[in-house]
Amino acid sequence: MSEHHQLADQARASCLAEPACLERLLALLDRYCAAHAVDAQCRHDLRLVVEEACANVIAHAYPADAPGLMSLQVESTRCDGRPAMRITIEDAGIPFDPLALPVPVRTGPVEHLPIGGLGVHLIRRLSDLQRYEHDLERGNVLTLTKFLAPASPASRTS
Amino acid sequence: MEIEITERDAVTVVAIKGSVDSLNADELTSAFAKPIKAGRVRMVADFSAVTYTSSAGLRSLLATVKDCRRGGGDLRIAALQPQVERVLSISGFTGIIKIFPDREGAVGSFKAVA
Repeated sequence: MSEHHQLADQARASCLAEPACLERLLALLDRYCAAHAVDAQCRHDLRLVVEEACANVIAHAYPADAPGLMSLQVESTRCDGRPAMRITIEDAGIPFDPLALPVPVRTGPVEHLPIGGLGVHLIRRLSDLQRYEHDLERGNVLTLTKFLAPASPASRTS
Repeated sequence: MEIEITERDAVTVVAIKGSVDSLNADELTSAFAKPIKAGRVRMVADFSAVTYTSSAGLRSLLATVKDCRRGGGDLRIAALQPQVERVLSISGFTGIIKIFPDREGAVGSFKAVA
């Protein structure tokens, strides 16, 4: 179990779990990362894990003709004493733990390789901590933590 | 995302610019599918201007490389940027798809076996 200490600010957005929602959620993440001077590689990785997690919700959480709400929360935090970004994605759809999916096979003849399952693999590899819970009030709650590189001495003193 | 398709002898070059994500990957898959349907199964995906790909882009590449090889050809990738190469490597794609430093090398690799 990791210890989180929430810092001052967070950003949150909710919308219907539809493809058009994804751009809005990614824009929220981009603005938050820019405001917190997150370095380019962490921004890339955070964008990718948020896209993958949100795309899963959009595709699978609700019936296609009846999308429900989903939300994204981004917060600057400290986890085990290290600066980190914590991403929380919630939906009230079908209970589903994406972290229970097996790691996709990537060896053997290309003809036999499955096309799916890569998104969760990337989430696991490009974030540092992952946690799923199903809450009776909040529904599916996926929490992803990405450690940030420590600030350089120059930026700490500026 | 912008896609430009050109023919280089027996090789179809698909040059992609921008980000490949879950919102536009179907467009990329369709662009790859058109030459394959016409029997042109030697393809190069020029990634020199691709700054980001998610798993949606990887699925498009995997489906296309399967189709090309099934038809006796191949899909080869040219000029990966570091972040994109990292995503392909993490996903095991660098052991599946042949990757070249530049477009000329990827196109020329087909001539070498022709």
